[in-house]
Amino acid sequence: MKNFHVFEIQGVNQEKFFNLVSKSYKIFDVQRFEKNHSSFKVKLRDKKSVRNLILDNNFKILSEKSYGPVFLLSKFFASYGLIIGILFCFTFSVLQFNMVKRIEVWGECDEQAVSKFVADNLNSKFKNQLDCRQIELLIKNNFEDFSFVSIAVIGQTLVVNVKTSISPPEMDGVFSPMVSEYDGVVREISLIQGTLCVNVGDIIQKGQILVEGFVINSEGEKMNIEPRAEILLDVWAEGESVHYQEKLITYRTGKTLTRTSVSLYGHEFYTNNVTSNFSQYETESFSKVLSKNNILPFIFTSTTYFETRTELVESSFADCQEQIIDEARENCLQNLTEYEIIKNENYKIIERDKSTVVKYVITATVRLVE
Amino acid sequence: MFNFFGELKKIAENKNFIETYNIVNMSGRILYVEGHTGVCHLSKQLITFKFKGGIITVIGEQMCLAELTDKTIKIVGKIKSVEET
Repeated sequence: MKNFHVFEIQGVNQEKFFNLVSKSYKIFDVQRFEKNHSSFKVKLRDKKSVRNLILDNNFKILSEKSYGPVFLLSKFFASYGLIIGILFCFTFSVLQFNMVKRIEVWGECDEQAVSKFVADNLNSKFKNQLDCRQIELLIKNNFEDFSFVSIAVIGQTLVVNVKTSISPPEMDGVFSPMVSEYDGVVREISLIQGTLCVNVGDIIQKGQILVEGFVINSEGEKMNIEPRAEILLDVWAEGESVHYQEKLITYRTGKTLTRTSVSLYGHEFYTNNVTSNFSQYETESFSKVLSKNNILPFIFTSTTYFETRTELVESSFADCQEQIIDEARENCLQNLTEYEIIKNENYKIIERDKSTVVKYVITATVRLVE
Repeated sequence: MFNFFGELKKIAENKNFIETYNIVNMSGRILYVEGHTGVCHLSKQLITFKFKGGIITVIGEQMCLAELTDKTIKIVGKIKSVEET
């Protein structure tokens, strides 16, 4: 039995009373504490009738209490204050849910200023009465640097999404001028934009400005602009190579000795005792940490001695003239990275004391494009 | 459904006496009574009730009248004896 009512009664001749009650109602868990004192349970729906019977038979009700979910529900419906409170909260919740509580601004802008402006210009706090389009137009008219404004109501938040207009770089950018990377002569100019500083036939130096990053408009105002042009230059590059009649050449003979050692904290405690007895030598060595921890860092070192010999070699320039000229040309081409056509090349041989210098000059066409 | 008392009545020769009361004692813990006409005495050690033609005395310990209607009684507790007087 989930829903029941417990009576605790006092009075004489209780057996007679229980017999009387049991003729009309079911009685449960009759507990006899004393001769005149007992308690019993009845169904919740019989509560009122049984109470009347108790009182009609001159019994005294010491206590009574109801139990079960139905009782709790009935108790809830009898709690008018609680019901009014819940109804009030529900109404308040429904009302406030229809209102805009906060304004959120998304985008790169002065959020406080936009938020304040929107708050001042809201035609209503109620979501269904909000004219989002009107607010969008107001924001767009008031903030000139906005290229896009969108307003949406998400929950109780008015989300203002703005995008700031980005002016093209030509409006306020500063551009570096087009500069020559070579010494040479201007052969052709094809200007796209910017102010030209050189003419065809001008001799220019490396680092000289070819096209400035601005133009002067019809009103005489200076407008920054990215310099763009295609310029053809005839440039010349130099390179040289030197030949010595006598040269000291050091070479390895092929004899080697290897010395190995193991050390710990700088103290060598093992070595194979190999020492170099070469009169002239070169060394190569490498070290390796044997352990993988820093507690005992054993270091293995291997040193190889290569025996060398130096000899004086004599040669005449005539024997290796072609080779020296080729070297001079290679050196010259290294100074000329992006050439289009080699127009001319020549070299000059300069005799010095015990040496000969070959100077190589290449004239080429270079196309500068920006 | 199988009716325990109904089946017993069918096989009984004298059906009149069986109409007075029926008692079922379940392991000495629950006593079910049918056909009482009123409770005479009620305590934890002794419960007596009337039937047509006599009184039944139930002696036990920690007994409780678990259910009481106009015709039936259910007694729960340690039931020691049931006597008809």
